Amino acid sequence: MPRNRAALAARLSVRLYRSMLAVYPAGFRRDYGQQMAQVFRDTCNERYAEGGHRGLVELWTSVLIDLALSALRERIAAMTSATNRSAPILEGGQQMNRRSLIGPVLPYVLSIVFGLGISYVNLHTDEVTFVALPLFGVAAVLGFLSPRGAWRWALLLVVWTPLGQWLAYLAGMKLPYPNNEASDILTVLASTSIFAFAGCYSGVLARWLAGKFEGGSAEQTRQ
Amino acid sequence: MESTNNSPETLLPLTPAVFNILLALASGEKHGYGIMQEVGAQTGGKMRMGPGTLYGSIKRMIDLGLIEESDERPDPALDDERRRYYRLTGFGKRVASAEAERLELLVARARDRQLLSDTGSAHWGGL
Repeated sequence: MPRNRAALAARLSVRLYRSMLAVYPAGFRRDYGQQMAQVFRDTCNERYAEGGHRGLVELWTSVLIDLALSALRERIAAMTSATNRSAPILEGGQQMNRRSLIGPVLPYVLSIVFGLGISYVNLHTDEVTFVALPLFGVAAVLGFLSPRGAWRWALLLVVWTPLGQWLAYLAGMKLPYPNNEASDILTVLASTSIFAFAGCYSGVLARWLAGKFEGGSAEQTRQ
Repeated sequence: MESTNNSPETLLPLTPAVFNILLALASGEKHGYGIMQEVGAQTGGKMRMGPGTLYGSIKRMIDLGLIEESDERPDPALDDERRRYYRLTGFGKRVASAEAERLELLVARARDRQLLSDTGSAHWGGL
């Protein structure tokens, strides 16, 4: 039984880690993504063999920090490289409306930081509103400020809450609500996904409407 | 992609991650997990790189011509899955040597100022 649990924990961990590689630039992911997942899997097996669930929790803690910092570094490097290659200038009202208002890197940082914060709140309250409303609100703001590929912000916001709850389950932490089965964590994943994606695309819609309104006003002014 | 025209000194000082990867590869080509294990062993467990830091460093080291990809083959000690191996280039060896000499000079200075005993530091079990 312990070996089955170890294999399941490692398999789930690797699947989750693979999905989180989306935070890296596409080129970096293409060149090194498979190797990174391989190394992560090997390290999972090693840490579980050494320290069981606690070893896995410690690994995830260090890997999440590594992920956030290294992804930021690679994004900045890719952005610098693209700037040096003189990226084409966007023109036209429609493209302007989809451009990020806060640069290409900050949405990733904000998604991760707020996602971690919401995950922390989730572990210390049984009030769903305290998790759902901030999640929706932050997602909406990010979707508004950076509408292109808004699904990325939703994903980065969502992943930490069920992950934190799963780590709490592995560590045997007592939470203010039932957290004894895989279905509890899947329910959290489903509900946080709904709020995050709904929030993000509400923000995208608001941005589109704002653009339409601006375009309509400009038209009236010209007339 | 070896930078034969660059002097090794232009890249100094190296970051701890880069120097430890060069040191790990000095004993022979390795795949990513092997590099990670070797770095952990040579630092007494004090430096554990995540996959993001490891491959970010590998990417930059390849761009600088310090290391190169070798081939893909399974590691019999692990499993049947093929793994990409890396090795030092000639330029990488020279850079690693230059950094080691720089550190040796610093250690000598520290010893002169009695910050280190004459027997040397035993914290990492010796390098």
